[in-house]
Amino acid sequence: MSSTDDNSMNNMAGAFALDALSAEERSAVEAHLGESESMQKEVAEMRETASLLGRAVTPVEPSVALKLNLMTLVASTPQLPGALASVSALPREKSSSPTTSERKAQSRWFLRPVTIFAAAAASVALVIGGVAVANTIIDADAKLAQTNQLVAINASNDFQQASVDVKGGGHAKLVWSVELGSSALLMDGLALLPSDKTYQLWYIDAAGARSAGTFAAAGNGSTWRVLDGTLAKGDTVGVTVEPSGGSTSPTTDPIIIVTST
Amino acid sequence: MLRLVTRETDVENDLEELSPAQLQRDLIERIADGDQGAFSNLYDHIAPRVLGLVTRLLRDHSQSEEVTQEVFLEIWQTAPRFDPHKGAVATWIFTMAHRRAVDRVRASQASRTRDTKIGIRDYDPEYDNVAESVEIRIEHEKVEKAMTRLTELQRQAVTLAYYGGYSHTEVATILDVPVGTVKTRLRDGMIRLRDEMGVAS
Repeated sequence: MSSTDDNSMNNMAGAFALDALSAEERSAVEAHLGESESMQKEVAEMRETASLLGRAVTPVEPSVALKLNLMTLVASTPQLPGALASVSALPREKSSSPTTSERKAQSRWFLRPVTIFAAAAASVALVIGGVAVANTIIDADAKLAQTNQLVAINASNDFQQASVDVKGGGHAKLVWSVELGSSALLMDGLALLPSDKTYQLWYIDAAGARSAGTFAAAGNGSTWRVLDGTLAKGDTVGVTVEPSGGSTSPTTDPIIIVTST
Repeated sequence: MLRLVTRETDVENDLEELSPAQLQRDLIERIADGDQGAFSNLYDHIAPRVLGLVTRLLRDHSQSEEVTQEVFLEIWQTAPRFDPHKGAVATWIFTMAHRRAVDRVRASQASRTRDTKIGIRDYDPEYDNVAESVEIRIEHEKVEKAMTRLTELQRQAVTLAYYGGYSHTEVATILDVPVGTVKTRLRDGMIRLRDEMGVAS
């Protein structure tokens, strides 16, 4: 298929958008696209059509490990520089925030706090009137702090993990670092609770249980949480179901109990 | 949480409340600036559907997760080059996911038993243990309805190519028609779907 005849090229638009061409034909169409505006338009519309087919597929819940891997990879993977032409074509509404290149220069992950603050401030300004959106961004910052901590635990010299079944269904994995005094619990298949209940985390030692924060199960049952407070060597981590807002000490039997060593 | 509800809707879930396309554009812009929290949000928002599509093509769960990881790493790396004028974020992501899944299907073809009938029989998705959101159900019904407007051959060809990951020559073999006919049917079928689903650029 080395013909560059317009008709035969146009005829391939459907197969191209559906990724049904051979590698050679794919390259030929890609080369031709640069020359034909009408075909560019047709392919763009067909790609959008194809993506609608993709979006209609039943979702599948990814494992917790996939996200953990990705967040770890992302923390150390550089991004491509933006294409100048498309950057300048962007409607940049954040006029008072640092320029893209300034921010790019700061975007090494270990310099994140400053950058995040600028980005979050700009985003809040962008969506005045959207209370819900502002909350999302605050949640996102809290989540990022959690994610960074989880990555740190996984990257620690004395990283350890232990898996247990959850009473009532599901699995939980505790990852921890005594050196960092920190742990996180990753859970799959956790039941959703009614709104007047919450899951509560506990660090448990000979002296008793101290609260390490509360959390809700995500809609899909996969969730994770870095525990508040400090892990001491040998602490047991437990999860109980408590009245919403949490309790000062556990009032029910734990559904998860796992001991660090 | 603050409740500023004028309609009788539940704003508990902030992400669902925004237009998904607008939300995704906002997230991509922040990801392009190196914002890992935005990446995490986008992942939560769209990863199950990406994994759904990839799994549809590859079937093997661990391979599908691998491909999904590649897709999201590519999103992270290339976000600074995303041009919103060239299409929606979701189109960009699903295009990457489909292409990578198809590449993986082709690469592992030798070791994979390709039941040529599966692609046709399998258009109706198996319902996994994940509850479908209303949004997805609406999109599913839209696609299903549009599909009924195609000729039998168009529908089979498009379904085999998109959901089965078959090349047009494989589709020609399966349906026992010339390759040229398949190309034409794929194009005609996609044009019909485009018009039925109201896609216009």
